[in-house]
Amino acid sequence: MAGIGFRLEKILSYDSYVNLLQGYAYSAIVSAGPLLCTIFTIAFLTIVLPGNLPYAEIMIFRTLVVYVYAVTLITTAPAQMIITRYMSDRIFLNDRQAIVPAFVGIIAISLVIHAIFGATAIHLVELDFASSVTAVILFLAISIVWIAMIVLSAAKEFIRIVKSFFAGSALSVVAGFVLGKQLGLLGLLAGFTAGQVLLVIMLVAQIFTEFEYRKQVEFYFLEYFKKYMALAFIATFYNIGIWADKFIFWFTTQTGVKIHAVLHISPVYDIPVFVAYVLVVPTLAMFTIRVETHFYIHYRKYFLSILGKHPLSSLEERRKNIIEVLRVSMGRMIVMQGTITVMGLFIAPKVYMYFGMSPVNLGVLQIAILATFLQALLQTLLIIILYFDFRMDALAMSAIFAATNVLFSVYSIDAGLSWYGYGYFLSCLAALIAGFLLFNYRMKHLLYYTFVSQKIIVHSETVAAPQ
Amino acid sequence: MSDICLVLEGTYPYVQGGVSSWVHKIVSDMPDIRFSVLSIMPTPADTKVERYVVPGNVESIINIYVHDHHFRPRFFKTKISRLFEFFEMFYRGISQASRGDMERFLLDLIRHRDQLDLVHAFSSREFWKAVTSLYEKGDTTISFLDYFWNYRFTFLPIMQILKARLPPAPLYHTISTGYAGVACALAKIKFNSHMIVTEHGIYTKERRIEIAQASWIYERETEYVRATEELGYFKDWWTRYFGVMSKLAYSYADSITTLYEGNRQLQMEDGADPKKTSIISNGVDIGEFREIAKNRDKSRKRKTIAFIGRIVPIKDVKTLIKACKIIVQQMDDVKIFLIGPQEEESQYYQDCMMLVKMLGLENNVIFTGHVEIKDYYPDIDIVVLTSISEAQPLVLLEAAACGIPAVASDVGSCRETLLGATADDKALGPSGIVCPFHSPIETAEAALRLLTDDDLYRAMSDAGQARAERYYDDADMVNAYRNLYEKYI
Repeated sequence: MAGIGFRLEKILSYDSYVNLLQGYAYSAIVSAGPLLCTIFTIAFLTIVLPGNLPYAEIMIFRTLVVYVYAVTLITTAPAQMIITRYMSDRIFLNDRQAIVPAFVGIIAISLVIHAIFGATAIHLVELDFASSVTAVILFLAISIVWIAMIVLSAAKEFIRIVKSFFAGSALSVVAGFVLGKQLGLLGLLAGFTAGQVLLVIMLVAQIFTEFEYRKQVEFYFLEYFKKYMALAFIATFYNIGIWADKFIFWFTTQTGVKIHAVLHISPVYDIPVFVAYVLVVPTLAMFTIRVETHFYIHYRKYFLSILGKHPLSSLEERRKNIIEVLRVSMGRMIVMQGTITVMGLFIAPKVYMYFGMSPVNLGVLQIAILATFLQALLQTLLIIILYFDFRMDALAMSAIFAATNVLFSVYSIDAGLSWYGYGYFLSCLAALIAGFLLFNYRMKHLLYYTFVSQKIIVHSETVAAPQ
Repeated sequence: MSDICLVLEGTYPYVQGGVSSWVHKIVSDMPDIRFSVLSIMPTPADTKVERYVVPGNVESIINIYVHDHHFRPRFFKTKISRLFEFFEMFYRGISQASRGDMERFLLDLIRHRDQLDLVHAFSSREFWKAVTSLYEKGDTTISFLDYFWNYRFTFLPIMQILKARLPPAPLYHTISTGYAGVACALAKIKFNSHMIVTEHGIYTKERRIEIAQASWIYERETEYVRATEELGYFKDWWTRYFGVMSKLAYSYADSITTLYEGNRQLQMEDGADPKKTSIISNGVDIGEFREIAKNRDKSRKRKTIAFIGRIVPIKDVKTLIKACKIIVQQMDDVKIFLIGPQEEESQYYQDCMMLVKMLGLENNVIFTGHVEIKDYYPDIDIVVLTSISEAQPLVLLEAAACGIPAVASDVGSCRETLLGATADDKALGPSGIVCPFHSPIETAEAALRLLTDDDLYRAMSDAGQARAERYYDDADMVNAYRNLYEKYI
């Protein structure tokens, strides 16, 4: 018998797409919850303590904590994305036992990097030795929190995560208050850190109890950094995009105020942006719920109908359904966030008057509200694009976001007070428009992209000739 | 430039087997002719080891990897839209009317083969348009996923052949139709040369069996449940695809040869012009086997039976083992050798060993594994072959040359080989007994007759030797091809 035999080994791996879904959605809100929790902890501490501590020390504490959060969010962003992808693949392959070994591996690497980085950077803050050590410990603890939260996205006992946050925050408040009264800045910092360390211990304990695992450390996820390097860049760019304008406002002389050594803030910018950020949280929550219900159903149906060997016309119909549900979801989101934004715009002046704050901030608040609204849309779009695994589009979007935010923020400061916040707003807008155009094009040709992006996999058998 | 380019698919020099040995014989026995080899293999991984010592008159070996799917995207995309027209024409089956167009397309395509871009061919917008529009013209209720994959899969090998650097030669000789046949036809069109097609087994028939058994080709529930001869949409697609390739090779061939009459009939059914067809049998080294025949002790008590071949389902070794049980019940000192490699289908081999044990034949049946068969021939009294499918089994020719009568199932050319093909051939008398396949009782009875009837045995032994010397001398086979070659070069 002469001739080449053959068979198709594996047709498609769409199931892994379907699995990605919850991972990305979760990682989007995962940073919001803890952040809010921490914000209230800090707010509480800075409100109740002033009577017992010099204001300057409280400001150092608050600024330091904000820096720790901002920096760790940027530095752990690549690891967060990669571990999300790695986990969803392992879960798809029914290898949940790989989660803990990978977690331990990534934490080990992350701790080394963050320890070196933290120990170097803390010199810039010019604190006494004990406070410096405490600050580095906090830095390491928070870096673990972000990654642990990603891993816990696959956990079943969700309520246990919430309990951990409450416990950690409670200890932070109490210990921070008690120690702060006695030891000043060091006590405040140590108390707060103690609470966060407790949080880390509780989260890690939950990881070890919820997942069955092989008793070893694994570094296979490192290959994912190579394979999905785009994801690491997307995460980094996006987080730079989120923080670039803040850092620029802190460190520009017209807008920034030096608190202590390298610690700067920008009262004219920070407060409005923070208020605006809080206003976005409801939208993000709503989007997550909608994703898990409406969009997810149609997205899944589309891929299942391909795997279910439907005819072309049926696939085409399912594609249109996805577009339709996205249109409706986006519409609802715009209405909801739009309402909140408009209310914010109207209420803002009254709130400012009530607290007797400077009306200078008012204009910034209004544009920041619009900007964070766009940022919510941007994040939503980014996640949807990642569901479809259009990584290059997501990369383009996040890169535009980061680059324009740096550029426009610098210009907005030069342009004067009335332009503050426009940099952030315009960069969100630019990235959003770019992303929307790309995504619109992709969705129009979704079938083409889903089919053509699949590798041709051939399994060959050479048939030997009989005697 | 070589005199003859051999176009081979999945065989020489990388895969061991009957066809490869045959090719090796041809090139080794014609040292004065310069050959080149165009070897079509699935992927580069399949050509790492050469299993034969290729003689010096084979001047070059060019490999085409038909399943190689590692595309390197080009920065400047080349667009050859006619490619998809050609695909469609191929898909629809090349009719006489479209043959002129097809040739023009082909010439155009191979003239620009450097620009043929696999990314363009299998991932571009144009490719997508071609797939979807072809789909829309057909049955639009069929699974699009499978349609897409089958389309890619159908034309990937064709593209690889179009892209290949074909060596120029005055004569191309392909030892199968299929991809090799297409490459051969392409070379003939390009260099305006001559072309010979030789088939040992019939390509379309072998592929049909494979397709019918393939589980990866999707069939709808309804198609699957319907227990008819009719094939599902995609199985039909593949059957047509291989059919078109054979038709293409036959229509461009100047000569078409095969091993025996039954195969010639199948080739004509697939569209081969009867005027081009002829039969050139396989042959064996008569001188060598004559020596073995001389050394055989014909007066000894006959009690040694041999099966020679791979232990695989297509040889139906189990029927043979069952027949052995019946033989042993009559003659308990019979020895049955099962000679041949066991690795290919190890599960089947396990099953056979189990069957031997269950039937209590451990003392009679011996599995030898892969051995030098010539050492065994002097001791063998009868050869038994129970295959459910064969072409022209070499073992029957060798047995005949040794003067060993055979019992064989009535498949392939076994009847012609044992009873004679032509009137002159038949006049030599039978050299063995033919029985239906899957028939342990008939097989056992035939073997017992040969073991016990001295006159019958002697007559069949002599007839076999005479027949082999007259019709199955490998020198004749080589000469027949030499004569054929000389017609064209």
